[in-house]
Amino acid sequence: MVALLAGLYVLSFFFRGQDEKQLLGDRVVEGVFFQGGYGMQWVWDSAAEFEKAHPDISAYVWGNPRSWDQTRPRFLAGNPPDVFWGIHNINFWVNLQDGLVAPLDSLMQTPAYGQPDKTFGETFFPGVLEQGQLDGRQYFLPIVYNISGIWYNKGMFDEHGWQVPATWDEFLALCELIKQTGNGIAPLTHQGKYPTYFGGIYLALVYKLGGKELLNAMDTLQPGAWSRPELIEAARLSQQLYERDYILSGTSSFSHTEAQMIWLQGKAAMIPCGTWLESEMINALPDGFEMRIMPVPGFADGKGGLGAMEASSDPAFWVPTDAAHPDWGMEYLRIMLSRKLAAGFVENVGSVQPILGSTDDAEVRPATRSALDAVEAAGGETFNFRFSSWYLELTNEFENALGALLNRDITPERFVERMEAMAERLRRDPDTLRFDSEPEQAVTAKASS
Amino acid sequence: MKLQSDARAGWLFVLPALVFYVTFLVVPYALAFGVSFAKWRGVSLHLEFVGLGNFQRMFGDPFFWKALYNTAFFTVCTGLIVPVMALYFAVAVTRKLVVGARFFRITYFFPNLISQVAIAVLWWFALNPEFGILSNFLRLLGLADLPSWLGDPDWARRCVVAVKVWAAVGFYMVLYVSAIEGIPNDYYDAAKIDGAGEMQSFRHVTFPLLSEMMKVTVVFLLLNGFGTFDLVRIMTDGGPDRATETLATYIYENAFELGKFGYATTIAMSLFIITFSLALLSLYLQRKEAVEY
Amino acid sequence: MRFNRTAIFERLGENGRKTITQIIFVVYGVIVVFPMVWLFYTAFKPTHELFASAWSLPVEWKFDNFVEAWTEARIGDFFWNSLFVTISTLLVQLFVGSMASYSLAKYRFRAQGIVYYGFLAGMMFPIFLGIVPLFFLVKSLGLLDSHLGLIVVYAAFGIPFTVFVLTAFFRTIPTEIMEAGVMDGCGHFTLYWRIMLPLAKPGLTTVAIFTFISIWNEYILALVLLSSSHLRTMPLGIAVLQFVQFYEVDFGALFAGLVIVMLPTLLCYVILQEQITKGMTVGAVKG
Repeated sequence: MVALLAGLYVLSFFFRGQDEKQLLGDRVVEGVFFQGGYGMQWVWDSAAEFEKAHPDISAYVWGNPRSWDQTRPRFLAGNPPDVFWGIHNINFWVNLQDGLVAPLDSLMQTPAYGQPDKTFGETFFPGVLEQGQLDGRQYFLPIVYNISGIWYNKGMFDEHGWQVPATWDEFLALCELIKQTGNGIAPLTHQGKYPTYFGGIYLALVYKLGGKELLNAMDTLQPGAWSRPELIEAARLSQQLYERDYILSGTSSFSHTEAQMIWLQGKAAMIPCGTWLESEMINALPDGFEMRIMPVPGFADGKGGLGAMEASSDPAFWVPTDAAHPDWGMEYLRIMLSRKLAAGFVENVGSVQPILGSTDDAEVRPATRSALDAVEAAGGETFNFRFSSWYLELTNEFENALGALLNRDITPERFVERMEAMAERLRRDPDTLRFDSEPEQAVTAKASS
Repeated sequence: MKLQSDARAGWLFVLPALVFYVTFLVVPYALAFGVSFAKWRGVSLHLEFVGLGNFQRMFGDPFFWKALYNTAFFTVCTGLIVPVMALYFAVAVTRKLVVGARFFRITYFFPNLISQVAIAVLWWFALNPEFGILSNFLRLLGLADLPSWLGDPDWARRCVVAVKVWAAVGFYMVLYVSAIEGIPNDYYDAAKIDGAGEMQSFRHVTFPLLSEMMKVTVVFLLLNGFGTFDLVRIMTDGGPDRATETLATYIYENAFELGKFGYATTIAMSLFIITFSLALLSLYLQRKEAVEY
Repeated sequence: MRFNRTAIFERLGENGRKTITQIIFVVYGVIVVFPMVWLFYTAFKPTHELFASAWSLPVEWKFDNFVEAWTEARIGDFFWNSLFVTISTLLVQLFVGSMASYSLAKYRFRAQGIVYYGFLAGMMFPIFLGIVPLFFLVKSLGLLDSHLGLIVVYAAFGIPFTVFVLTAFFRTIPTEIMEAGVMDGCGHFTLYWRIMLPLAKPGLTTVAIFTFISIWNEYILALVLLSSSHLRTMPLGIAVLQFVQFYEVDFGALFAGLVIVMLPTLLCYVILQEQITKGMTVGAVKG
């Protein structure tokens, strides 16, 4: 027994996990990326391209669904990777405040990879870069121009002759129609375990009721903004979907991939999501499944456009200050967000990167095309709530309260009460970084250069 | 004996352990005391001392109170249910009331061998309303309209207690069995002669002699319960809507997610004060009775 | 009152009570064992079959999930990491702890009592209290994100329990044996190493078993002190695998990983359960 243990012990010393990065030698650029809906192929592609352009440097790139959680101790310990992207529980601006983020201004002035007549900065969709700036300096770059809305099963709609609704009332009528059809098909499901997905519908309703002015007020934590009647109304309408039994039973416990899979299996007609949906579910797509997106239907008398789409290029990539090779990290970004690789991204991943010309050079999938078309149909009117990027605690409370609201554990009035209370808490807290500036102009999907 | 009074040797033997212990336990705990009075983002060694500010903030923090309530709920429920179940099983096994006692003794201990993480993942999947065995089993029995176990605040709490109990009972059962087996049979024989049946011999022989162990059990469960982290973090992540948030997960969130190391330590201090008081209280209560045999 | 209740209980009859008890035991036995059994055979199913029918036995017993878990999900690496860390901790902890216990039990020196109770007090403090300063302390010692750092911290945290059990144990060893050793010409260390330690085997075994189980399954300290993926221990690996499966929906590998985590401890227990139970009795009698 003891001999066996001793033997195993000796073996374990040698069989322990190897640090692959060390094996690559001295000249290594390390990138850590969120591994999720977009998969990792685009990361491998960008690494290959980088090594082609710089044969003397190895690119050690890896991904993890909780990249920030997993890598955060390294930031605290002072040896972060050279380029990074994380999405959960991360507050980009707090990290910036803590001195963890390197400025990218020099990078933006460098000629673009593969397009020497332009600077890197000029290759982005207009208006996108401001989302990653503070006081005029560039710190964060986006990964994608994301469009969110309600995805529907086109084949199912065609089969039953259902029409895409334009107003919320038409939407409710459609839900009723679907419900009456029977066959066990529910009108709507959502990623119940993560209420933030349904939040897309909720916030769209708020925008369509209250317009840009309300959006700004909420984002900048104006007193009373989070208790406005439009928010109560949107909450009421959200609960109403459950009350009228339009939501697939069991939804509240579905993880995002479960809900999406169930939607693909035809148990529900519609689901809220962003343009990463197809790529995320690529392995589970039934043959011939056609997905299309529609805007969250609005109100004829609302302040926000009927067909406005939620679209944004949120901060994603950054180069840590203490990185071993920040200049290589920046170079990696220059290559990764080049027109050539962005075209590959659109084709393989299906989502649009905010690089001009990327959609021209590639075959855009029908699902993605429907999203771009929807933005065009809305006259380019898009909206984007910034609080989810600015205030982590507010976002967490929003998700929790929305979940409770959808569970019918709290009333719409109580929902806004909680949100206002959290907003107040943040207003009062001297340590919370405040954003008082107006969000930049709406980002437009100007695809061609 | 001369060797034994060689103080220098004595100290030398103790030294390595002392070094480890002081460095990695005593120093951090001592530092924690200081850190709980400061604001600290952990990025540099710069601490901003705020006196009782963190404590004030804690008292006004609804999430703290919710976490405290949940933690107390889990701990008290587990602390009551586990000893009773374990005792029942132990008595039944030792008094030969069941067939296959040895099999049960071995298998009931299984959950104690596997990590809380594995237990959490196992039950997270087993409690899945769609694919999990619990829901499917109940459906087989004909029940419909089942709740979403981990998605409903009340059910999630009950499930956490249930899983904690599931993971703990085996250990205490084995412990009690050993203790009961240590009771000389004469006592039971004497009781039988006096005309006692099963119940009575339990009440008058088994239980009093085990009471020490029961008290220790309860104390142990209480102390451990307050540190519940692994299970909750993996199975429910504190949700839904913080219904299963414990002090430990809230501390972790503040420290490693929100970067509020000072505040997190303050909450940890409170956690410590609670557990320490409970330990002292139980020691005091135990002084009162001690049954010898 | 009392008389009536017990009378009813008696009236159920020996057999009635036995049957009810038997049923309860069997039911609980199923509740304990079935989830693990289910986990075990589900690990042999490909994921889509899992979603199709949760209960059923696999159509074909495939090892694919296990291979994938061991290689791609790197559970193999984590297994060796855990083994290395756990056994290393045991060696350090037992060595350092037994020396201290021996001294506290058999030697006399000033402040001995304070040291002893000081060690024991460590068992009462929740890990969470010290975790933040511990993180930064380990960082400043340059031990962050290393197996060495983890081993050293684990050993330190295990010392209170070790001292608790072994001191009591050493006390039971008669002084005559020590005297005999001295007469044979043993010095301090030789006495400890050659004579006392072997006599303490049962105690050492008890501590070893409990420590093994607790370190093998330890999560929070590993989570905080390790960040590189290649260094992860099993619980960490399983947790990360769970996150990954949220996205990839490939639960097969997750289940296989869980089986790999659980199997060693379960098997060891089934084989060694006599000793383990005996070890617990030691604790039971003392405590």
